[in-house]
Amino acid sequence: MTVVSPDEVLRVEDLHVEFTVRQGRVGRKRVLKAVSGVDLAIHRGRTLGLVGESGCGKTTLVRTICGLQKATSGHVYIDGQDLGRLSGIELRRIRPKVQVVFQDPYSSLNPRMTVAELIAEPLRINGCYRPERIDELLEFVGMTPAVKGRLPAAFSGGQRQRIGIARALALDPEILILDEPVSALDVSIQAQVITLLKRLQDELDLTCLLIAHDLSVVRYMSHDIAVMYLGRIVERGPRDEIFERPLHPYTHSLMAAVPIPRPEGREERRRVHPRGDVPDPTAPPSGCPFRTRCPRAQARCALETPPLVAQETPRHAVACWFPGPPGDWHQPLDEATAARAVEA
Amino acid sequence: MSTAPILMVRDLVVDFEMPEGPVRVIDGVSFDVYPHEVLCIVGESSSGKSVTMLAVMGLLPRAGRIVSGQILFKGRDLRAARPAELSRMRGGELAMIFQDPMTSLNPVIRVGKQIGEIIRQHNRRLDRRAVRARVVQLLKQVEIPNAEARVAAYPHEFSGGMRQRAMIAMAMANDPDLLIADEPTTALDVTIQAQVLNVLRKMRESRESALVLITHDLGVVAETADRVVVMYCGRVMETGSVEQIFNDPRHPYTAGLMASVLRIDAPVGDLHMIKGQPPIATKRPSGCPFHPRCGLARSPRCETEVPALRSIGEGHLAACHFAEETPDWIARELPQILVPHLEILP
Repeated sequence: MTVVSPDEVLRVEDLHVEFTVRQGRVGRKRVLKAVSGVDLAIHRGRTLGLVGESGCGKTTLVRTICGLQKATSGHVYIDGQDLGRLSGIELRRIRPKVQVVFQDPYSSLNPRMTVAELIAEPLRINGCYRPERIDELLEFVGMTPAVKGRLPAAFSGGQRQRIGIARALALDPEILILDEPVSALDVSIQAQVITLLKRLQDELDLTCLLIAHDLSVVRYMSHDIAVMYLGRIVERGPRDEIFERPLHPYTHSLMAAVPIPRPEGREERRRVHPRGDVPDPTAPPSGCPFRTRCPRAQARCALETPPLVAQETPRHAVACWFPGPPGDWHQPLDEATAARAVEA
Repeated sequence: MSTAPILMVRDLVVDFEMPEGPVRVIDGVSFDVYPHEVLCIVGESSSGKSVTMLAVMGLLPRAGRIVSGQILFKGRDLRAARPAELSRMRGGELAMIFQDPMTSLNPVIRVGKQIGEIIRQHNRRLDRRAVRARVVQLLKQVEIPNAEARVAAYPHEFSGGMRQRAMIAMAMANDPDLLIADEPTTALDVTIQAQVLNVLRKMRESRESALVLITHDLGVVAETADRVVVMYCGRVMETGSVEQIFNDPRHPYTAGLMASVLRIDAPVGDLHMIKGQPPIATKRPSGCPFHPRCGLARSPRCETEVPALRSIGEGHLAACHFAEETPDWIARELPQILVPHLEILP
C-alpha cells in the first residue's frame, strides 16, 4: 500500500478504466481503454486543470474519482483512503468530500425544486440541515437569500451556475470538481462566474480539479496543468511552465488552435494548424497515441509508448520521445534530450 | 468600399408572437455585406444575431414576423420574393450552415447523396456520374480523407468535424455568392475548430463568396473577419473593420466584452466584469439597451434617448451618445485591452 502524504487530498495511481463495447448487435466485442495508466496528485489548496479534446477520457476519470465508475485497475486515494478498498458505509462517508459543479446549469438542477430545496438536499441527505446555512451559502455565491422560494426557470444561466456552486459547497467538500463550469455561459457571464470561483478558491482554500477544453479558462484558474490525450496524460506541470514552454507536440497544437482576440499576426497564426481527427479509441495507434497527428513522429513512436518522465524541471513531465518547444519542430534534437529519450 | 454591397439590410424589425403578445426581437438592424468579404456578427445569446440572418434567408420560425425593413440581395428585394423563388436561391447563390451538423444532415441518407441532391436541385441536366464526381471533388476540397469511399458513408460514421466539413461542402456545392455560417464551430473541439475555420476560409477564397459568420467568440472574429457587426438586444451597437473594432472600440459594450474575454496571449490579470446580465427580450431597457450595465452611461440621456448608429470614422459606426469619450474611458477603466499583448505562443 502506498503511503500518501497528508498534504495530498487527491491521488490517482496507475488508473485504468476499460469498457467493453460492441458494434451493433452481432458485432465483435472490443475493449475501449478510456483511461490508461493515469497518475496524478493534487495538494491541499491547489487547483489542477485537466485539458483535452472530447473523447480523451476526462469525464471517465472524473466519474471514477467521484466513485461513480469502477476502476479496472489502479487506485484513487481521497484524503489518503483508497476508494477501491472501502466498504459501502465507508464510501458513503467519504463521498460528501468530493463535490461536482456540472457543465450545464440548465439540466443539472431539478426544475421542480426551489432554490432552497436544491441547496438543502445534500444537507438533508447527510443529516446536517440548518436553515441558516442556505442563506449563508447563497450570500457566499453572490445571491440574495430572497430568491430562496424561486424555481430554476426564473434564473439566467450564470445565476443557475451560482446555485450549482452553492449546492456543491454545502457539505464543505475537500475536493471540488469543476466540470466545464463556464463553457455553457455567455462571455460577460463567464467572467463573473470565473471571478466568483477564483474568490472561493482563495477564501476557502479549496482543492479543485478543473476540467475544461478551453485553455484560457484553465490557465486563468489552475496552479498545475495536465494535458490528456486518448486516456493518457501526455504532459503535466506548473501552469506557467506549460504555457511558456510546452514540450509535447500535442500541447503545442492545442495552444496553436486557440483563437486569439487580436487581428494582428493572424496570417502567421493560420499556418500552424493541427491535422487529423482523434483516432478511434477502440483501436488506438500503437506506441505513442498522438503519433498519427504528430509532426515529429518517427519510427520509434510507432513501436514504443513513451512514458511520462520529467523534462527540464522536476515537476514538468512529458510523455514524448522527442520533446521540445514548438520552435524546435524542424531542428534536430540536441544530444542530451535524444539520449534521455533513448534511455527512458 | 466602392463596390455595391451584395446584401443590404435596412432598419430590419422582427417580432415574435408570444402568448403574452408580440415581442420585438430585432429592433432596427442595418448593415451591408460586400462581395468577397468576411463579415462577423458577434453578440451574446439572445442578441438577435441568428434571428437577423434567418430573416434574411426567409427561414424565420412560424412565430417570427418581419414587421418592417428592407433586405436586398444583389439588388433584389428578398421580402417581396415568392417562396419558390427563395427556394431556388437557397442552396444556390445563397447558402447557410448551422451550428449542429448532426441535426442538419439526414441520418438515414448517405452523405454523398445528400450533397448530390443539392447539386441536382440546381442543375437538373447533370447525369449521375457527373454529380458523383463533383461530390467527391467537393469532399476532397474540404479535406475529408479517403473521399471516394466516404461518399457512401452515413452521417453517424463521420466525426463532428467531418460532418461540419461535409456541411461546408454542401453549402459550397453551387458556388454561392453569399454563405451564412451560424456558429459553425461552437460544438467542436479547438483543434477541430481551427481545421474547420481553415477549410471554410479556403473554400470561400477559391470561390470568391462573401461570408457572414455568426459567432459569440471574439477570438474567432479576430482570426477571421474583415469587418465586424456587434449586436446587443436586437440592435447593432457598433460596426467597423476588424482593426477598428479591436484596436479602437467606441461602444462601451464592445470594450467591456473585450475586457471580459479570457485570453492566452496576455498575462493572467484581473478580469473585467460587465455588471448584470443581458436583459430578456420582453424586458429590454428604455433608451440605450446597454445603459443599466454601462460604465459610461449618464442620466437622463442614456435612459431615455435611443442612440442612433452614427459614423465616427471611415466605415466605423457606433450607437453610443458618448462614443467620443469612450477612448478616454477605456484608458482609465479598461487599460488591459490596450496593452500590447505578451507573445507567449508559438
